[in-house]
Amino acid sequence: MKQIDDAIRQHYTSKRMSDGAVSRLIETSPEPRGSRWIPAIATAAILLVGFGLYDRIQDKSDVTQGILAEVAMNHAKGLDAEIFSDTYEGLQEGLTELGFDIRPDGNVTRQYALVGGRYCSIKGQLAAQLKLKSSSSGDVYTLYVTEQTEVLSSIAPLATVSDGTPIRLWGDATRFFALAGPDAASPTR
Amino acid sequence: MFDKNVKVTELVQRGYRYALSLCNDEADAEDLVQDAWVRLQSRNRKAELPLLIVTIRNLYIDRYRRSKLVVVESYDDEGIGTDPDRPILPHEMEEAMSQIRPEEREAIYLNVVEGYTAQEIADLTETSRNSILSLIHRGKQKLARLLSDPKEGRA
Repeated sequence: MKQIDDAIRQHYTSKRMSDGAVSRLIETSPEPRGSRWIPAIATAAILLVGFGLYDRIQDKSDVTQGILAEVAMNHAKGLDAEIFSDTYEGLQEGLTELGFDIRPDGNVTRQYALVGGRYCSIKGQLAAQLKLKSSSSGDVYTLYVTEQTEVLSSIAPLATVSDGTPIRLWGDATRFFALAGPDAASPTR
Repeated sequence: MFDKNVKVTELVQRGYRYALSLCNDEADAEDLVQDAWVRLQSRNRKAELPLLIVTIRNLYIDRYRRSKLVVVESYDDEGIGTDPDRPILPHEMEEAMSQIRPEEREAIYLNVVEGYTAQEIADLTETSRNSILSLIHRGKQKLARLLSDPKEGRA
């Protein structure tokens, strides 16, 4: 079996994530809790704990930052769709594992044409990653859709830029959305 | 943030290879490592291989909605081997690896590449030591058979 063991080692040691992917992973990960500005945070924490707010605010901030980091990184990777369809019904049929409707609201469907999609995850939860193309500029956008949860529903609608990627987060009664792309965070979107 | 040095990069690569041993798909493996890494960092957890492995494994099980990796097969120790004079070509190993079960790939990877003992793998994966020994043995037997006759796996 030594020959097989050697071949197995060779098989796996030849596998590497690209240097760029590793760099993006390390650089775009969210700051761990309390790693910077410790004195200021400690002072603020003492005040916040007094009002019983610290844990809720910190947890929500961690979740939001984590989601923004994941969305920015996934968008930067630009992975191809695994199922190509220009209709939400067609794509929904291909993504059989999803237990929620992937069609976003009219604001999105009017502005962007659907190219296709694939499975992904947000905060470890099964999600759909949709590739969209702007009907006016032709720019490529990534839309993430996942089921609404108690944690995700606590995140207020947000438009920001994370690691250079404009991102908009919002939700409805049953789903959570994240849109990443050139002007996703612009107020006119 | 964790130190951006060679050790961190190597840790990510080892996590990637482990993820690859589970899902046997490079894009999925990259996603698993990314999600695990973000999860560990956002929870301010220490960057070490066993924790990364467990996090990747949990994400893999969640994502593919597998209730548990269970071994129910017994094994027999038949001496099937490859011809030592014939080199194993990379594409043959690639093909053979795609033919064995994820839990066999996982156990073989952790044992052969990472050097974990069967007991250590059993502790990491919350499986019995005997099951791990069975997975390693059966997985290698299958690989040997597939590599001795590369056409078998495609039949």
